[in-house]
Amino acid sequence: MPRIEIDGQEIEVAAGTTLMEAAEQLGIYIPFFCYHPKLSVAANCRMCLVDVEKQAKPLPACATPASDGMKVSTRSKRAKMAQQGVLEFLLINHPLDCPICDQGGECPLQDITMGYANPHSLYTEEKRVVEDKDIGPLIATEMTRCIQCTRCVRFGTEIGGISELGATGRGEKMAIGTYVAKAVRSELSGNMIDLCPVGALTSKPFRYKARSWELKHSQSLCPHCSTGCNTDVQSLGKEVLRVKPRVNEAVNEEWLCDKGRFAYAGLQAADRVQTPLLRINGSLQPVSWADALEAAATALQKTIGRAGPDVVAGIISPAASNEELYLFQALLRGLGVRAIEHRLRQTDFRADPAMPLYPALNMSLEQLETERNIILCHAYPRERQPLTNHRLRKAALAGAQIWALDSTEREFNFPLRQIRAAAGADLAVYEELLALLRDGTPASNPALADLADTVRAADKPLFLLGSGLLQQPRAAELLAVIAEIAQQTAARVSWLAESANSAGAWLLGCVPGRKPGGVQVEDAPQIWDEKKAFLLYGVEPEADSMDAPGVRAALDAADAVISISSFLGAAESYADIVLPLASWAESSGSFFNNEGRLQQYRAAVRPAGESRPGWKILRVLADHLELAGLDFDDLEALQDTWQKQLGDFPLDVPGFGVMPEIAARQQEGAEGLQLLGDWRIYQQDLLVRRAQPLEQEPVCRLHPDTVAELGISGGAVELLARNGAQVQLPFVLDAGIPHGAVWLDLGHPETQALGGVGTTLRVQMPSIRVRA
Amino acid sequence: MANPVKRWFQSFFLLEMLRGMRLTGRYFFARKFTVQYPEETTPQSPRFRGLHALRRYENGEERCIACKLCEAVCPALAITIESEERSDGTRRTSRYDIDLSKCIFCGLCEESCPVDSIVESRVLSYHAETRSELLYDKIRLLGNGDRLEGELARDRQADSSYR
Repeated sequence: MPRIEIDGQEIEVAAGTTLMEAAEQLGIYIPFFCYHPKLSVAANCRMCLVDVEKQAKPLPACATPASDGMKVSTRSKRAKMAQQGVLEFLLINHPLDCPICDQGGECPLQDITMGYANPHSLYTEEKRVVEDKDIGPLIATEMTRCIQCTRCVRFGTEIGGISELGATGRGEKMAIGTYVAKAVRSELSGNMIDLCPVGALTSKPFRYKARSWELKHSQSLCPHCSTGCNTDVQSLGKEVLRVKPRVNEAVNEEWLCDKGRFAYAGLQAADRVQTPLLRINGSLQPVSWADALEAAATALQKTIGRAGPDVVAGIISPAASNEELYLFQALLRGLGVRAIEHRLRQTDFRADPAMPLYPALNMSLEQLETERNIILCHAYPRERQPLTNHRLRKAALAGAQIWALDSTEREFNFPLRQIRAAAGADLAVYEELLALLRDGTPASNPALADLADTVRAADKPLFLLGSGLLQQPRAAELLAVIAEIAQQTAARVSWLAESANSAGAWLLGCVPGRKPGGVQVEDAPQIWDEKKAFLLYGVEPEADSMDAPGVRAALDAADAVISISSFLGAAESYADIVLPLASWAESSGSFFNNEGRLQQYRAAVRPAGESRPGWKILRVLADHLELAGLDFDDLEALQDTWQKQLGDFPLDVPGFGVMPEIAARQQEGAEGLQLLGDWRIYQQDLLVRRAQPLEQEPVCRLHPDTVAELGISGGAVELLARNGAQVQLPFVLDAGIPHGAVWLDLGHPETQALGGVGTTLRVQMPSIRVRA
Repeated sequence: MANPVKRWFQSFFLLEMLRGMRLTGRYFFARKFTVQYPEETTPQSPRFRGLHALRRYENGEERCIACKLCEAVCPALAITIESEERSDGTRRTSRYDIDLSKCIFCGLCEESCPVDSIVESRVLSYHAETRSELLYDKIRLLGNGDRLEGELARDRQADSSYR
């Protein structure tokens, strides 16, 4: 245990502690640019030079380990000279354009210059200029400002997992760039903006919008995945201008993915609902809140009066707050409605009785890093839960063995082994694994045999089930096999919950057949069959369902569709009543994340137009429906009520319940290519979809052999669904897609008509059509 | 006034009155310094802080770069700025308002401006009939600048050695 002295204060630190860390423990500030506690030490900015007794030269505090008896001074004459010298050199080539720089006001270089620099410069020659790079729609570059700290480069390789930025040239000619001109694609790229200590990398959507000092900060949560990242929503007036991460080591550390960082741009979308709308003579007309609520209540009462509550279905977004989820199910159950659902993307619900209390990680995110054997089952956390993926990456780098079973191979950013099912034969992979574990029959796939060996040898391996599994047409059968595997091998089963509050939706009874607290009561009814009225809450069923055409038909056929939503979208053609919903940034509430951690978020800005927070809409609607006990005046009372209803619940809910008898469902044997697909990272929910900077063009992916077989050339294909839909899309060659299948980016308006996973498509060269 | 005799003499000979009249008399014959405003005006320093103006460069480009330092420094919160990226990629204001009914003419906006854009001119006799006319927007401020540029440039030049 070396004992050292910094600025006259003594401290004993663990061996290997650097002077920077020791100073931090003492509360002594040493200025720095390139040092970052979560990145490797580069020691190339030289700002943290300190004076160490008996050393010939000042030493960089970030890279010097403390050794016994060191006497360090951060304020001696020599240290000050070093600091002033370093700053003078850094400022030689740094443009003094702070007034137009977006970093101005929150810039370490600005602050440290004010604090430590000599106000007079000897430099009179010309400054260097570095050419700007276009690295995509999210990060604006001003490379002349770069001080070559290489934080962004180190972030890319060490945290992001893809080495996209790098330094070329030496000395004065050193410049950061992408080597070959291209956009930065990492899903964590936005963090480089936060890391950049100068204004070289700034946020493009935020460019020149405001200065840092005039923004209002609101403590919020990210509503885009189940990790539950803590965010700081920064706004000016009525507009959210940017979202930054808040430090929470237990959840998101200090990172935020691009989905959470830039989705706020969608708040200003053109189809934002500003006033209540009512269908009058075939078109939606703006009406008063009183009229709209009255119409909604009447529609529900009339439908129920005529045909009973079983013809009504309620669908709520799994990104709604606990308060909204609780009120939603209480309102509908008060009317006698049983069909309450939040899982639009799932089609096979036969395993519901065996589902746990909620889709839980069954451990903390920090514990996930220490897992040794992880099997990802149809999970692609890199796009679904980017910061949970970051924990998995840490586990992998620490030596964990990770396997992924999926319909296709995915672009993971850590070392793992992937096992891909043959087109449409996802179940067979799990069945074979089970057979291998049970009696060791020879495997058709050597990788599966290796996996079986790993599972057998491992002490309680972890099966992480992703949302891709539940999206499978035979999800229940897959779950049954996995339950069997878990039983055979004493493996643990955990879930990567799909959405920000999927856990809350399960816990608070927004699932058919379960009341708040997971009390199983009724038999679970179908959501879409023979329904006459729908109450939709913050969802776009046509974009988020596997069977978009079928869902669309059900909505069109319904007598009454009431949509409580922030965005109009396709509801313009099927909704009868639209109630404008305040977005997550405009209302307060709480989420349960994947760990079961309850977190609160606060409204940042006033609701757009006449929209109202969801819980207030539901409360007043309940009032119009004359339902007792739901007239909450404030959020606290509502929170108390649902917490009382939910009671204490176990955070860890391992394994499955009693699996019901699940018959094998016949696979459709139609000709054509098996449709595979998923919602890509920026198609996950209503808000992200509308964020213009995150826009992604839909593509389809085909195996090179499939393309050769079909004799397709050129850049686009025509896809023909069996329902007659015909769509032309650009295609990408991807050897990770199984032979005989076509991968589709789901959720796009272009691809909705083709249906979802489980059907087949015919693929051909685009025919040239002459318009009549 | 302890001495009644002395008081009697002072009252009887109006000595205090004469002492006062001596001052009156001195000013009665001295040179007059009344200024016949508005025909005449007092001399002004080049640092005079009157009506605001936004200046342009010689090529006609507006100087303001929307750094918002004047907005931040304004003690009366009289300045409102909104900024955006102009089509040529430069940082510009989309709104620049000064509420003259709030302004206290402290001159901090001018002092904080890194590009000598917002300045206070020698104009002191601006007026308005309604409050809303005292809200100067970007167009009016640039108009002030265009109208007064010669004088503004001369004043900045005269003061430059002290800045």
